[in-house]
Amino acid sequence: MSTPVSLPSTKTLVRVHGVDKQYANGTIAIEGVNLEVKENEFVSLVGPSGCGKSTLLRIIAGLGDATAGEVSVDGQQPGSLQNRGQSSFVFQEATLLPWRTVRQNVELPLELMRMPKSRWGNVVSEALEMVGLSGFVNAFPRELSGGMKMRVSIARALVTKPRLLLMDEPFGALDEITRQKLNDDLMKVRELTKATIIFVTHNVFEAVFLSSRIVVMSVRPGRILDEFKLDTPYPRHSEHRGTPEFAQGVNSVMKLLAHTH
Amino acid sequence: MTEAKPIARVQSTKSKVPAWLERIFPPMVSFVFFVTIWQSVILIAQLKPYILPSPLGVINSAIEHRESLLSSAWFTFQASFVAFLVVMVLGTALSFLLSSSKFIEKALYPYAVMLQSTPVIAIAPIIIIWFNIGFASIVTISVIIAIFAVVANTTQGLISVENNMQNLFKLYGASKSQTLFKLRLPFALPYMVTGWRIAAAQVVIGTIVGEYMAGAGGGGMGGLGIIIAETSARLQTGYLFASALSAALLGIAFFLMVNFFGHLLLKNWHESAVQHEN
Repeated sequence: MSTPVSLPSTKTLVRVHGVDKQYANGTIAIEGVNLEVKENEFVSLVGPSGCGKSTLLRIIAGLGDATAGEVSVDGQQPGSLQNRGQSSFVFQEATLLPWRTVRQNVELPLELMRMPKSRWGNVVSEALEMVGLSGFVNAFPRELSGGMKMRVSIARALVTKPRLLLMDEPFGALDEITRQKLNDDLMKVRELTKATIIFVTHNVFEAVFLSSRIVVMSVRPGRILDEFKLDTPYPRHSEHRGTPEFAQGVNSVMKLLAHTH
Repeated sequence: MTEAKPIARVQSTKSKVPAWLERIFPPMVSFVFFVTIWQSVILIAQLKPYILPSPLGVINSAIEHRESLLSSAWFTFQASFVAFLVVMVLGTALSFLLSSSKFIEKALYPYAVMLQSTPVIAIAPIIIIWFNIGFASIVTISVIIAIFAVVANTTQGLISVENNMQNLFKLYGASKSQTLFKLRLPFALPYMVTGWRIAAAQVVIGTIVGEYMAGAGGGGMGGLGIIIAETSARLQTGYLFASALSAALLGIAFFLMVNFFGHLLLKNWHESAVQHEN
């Protein structure tokens, strides 16, 4: 039966307090959002399109500023120099540079951070191995399928050994079979890296399979409506999708989502 | 008829005919067809050579004047080459300026369009007043004609960089020069190559127009444009055809050269340069 997830650390990594985001055209994207994410948690933000979940993720990444409120990652301002490489972002599209090979794409963050090559060691090969791409290091992005491109994108995010991984609907454009395979592999990556993950999705099955906690957001303005904890211990394997616990989790989150409109 | 086409295509890919032969065969057929019609029209309508020279007459004229054709083509090539270099450097620099801020783009772009829209006939006299008859004026006219293609395409490439790619660079604290050399330039490269290709063809046209208006015959300052001007005045129509043909060949050679260079730059990664097997 389900036992509570035993966390090795209960240190808060991400703190979001009273955050509003209003766009220049007056649209309020999110309002009064409070969220704390502890180390080693896997938090999914779910909600209908337009609920501001991507906006919130971008604010945590330092890609956008909040109109009001405070955000900190490991006690620092998001996107600050100290956080560089400590938190990584995976976009909805693979966002690979088409003129670079798989290996060169994964090396990019190290180059941009001006880390001397002598200190790279095996991080690039390790990251590629973790996502199962060791055989494709010299391929160009155009030669890869959508799922493989996303694997490269994840390897690129892992190469700086981040403590926080921010993922913005990374598997939204993939077919269901590929998505499940990547979900399974993401669980393995989580075991190996011990990274804290914040994951945006509107797929309830994916969220329930992956997360230790699901945060449900409502639409216009985006507010946090409710939370749901999933106590199934990690590592989770694909068989988990057939368990009654999983079905229960999906049901409960579905019910919460019914109130979001 | 329409249903037979795909079957014919399947057969042609299975046949043992070498690929290069398959490629040059259709234009050769149309060439022979066209030349036959040309020769027949002259024979049937009894046209005078100064109205329409025969294909053989053009070839004879080309052989007869081969030395001056070659030296003129060489002059035109040199002027085109210099103009092309100026277009590349100046055009790219201008594009960086235009793409550096929305304000500068809005402030300058209308004038670039204006320059492009003004007939060269109107600008040429001013240029000749400033630079005199000769090489400098010829190159300037050529640059004015060809530069817009490079500016328009390069600017388009530089402002089209995907937003999330820029975000990625921002996340890792990329410097301005890193963003330029590792993101904006390579991203814009396919657009730039398109600009170069168009400019390559235009620069030869521009040089010949420049020679026509700002060249000087006799004194070795003439390219194909001068020969065209002189032969048309003297009704040496065969020679005129031969020089027009030389101009076309020079333009094609120049285009192919730039095309090859562009292909080398993009061959590994860009769709336009990749050979698909299906």
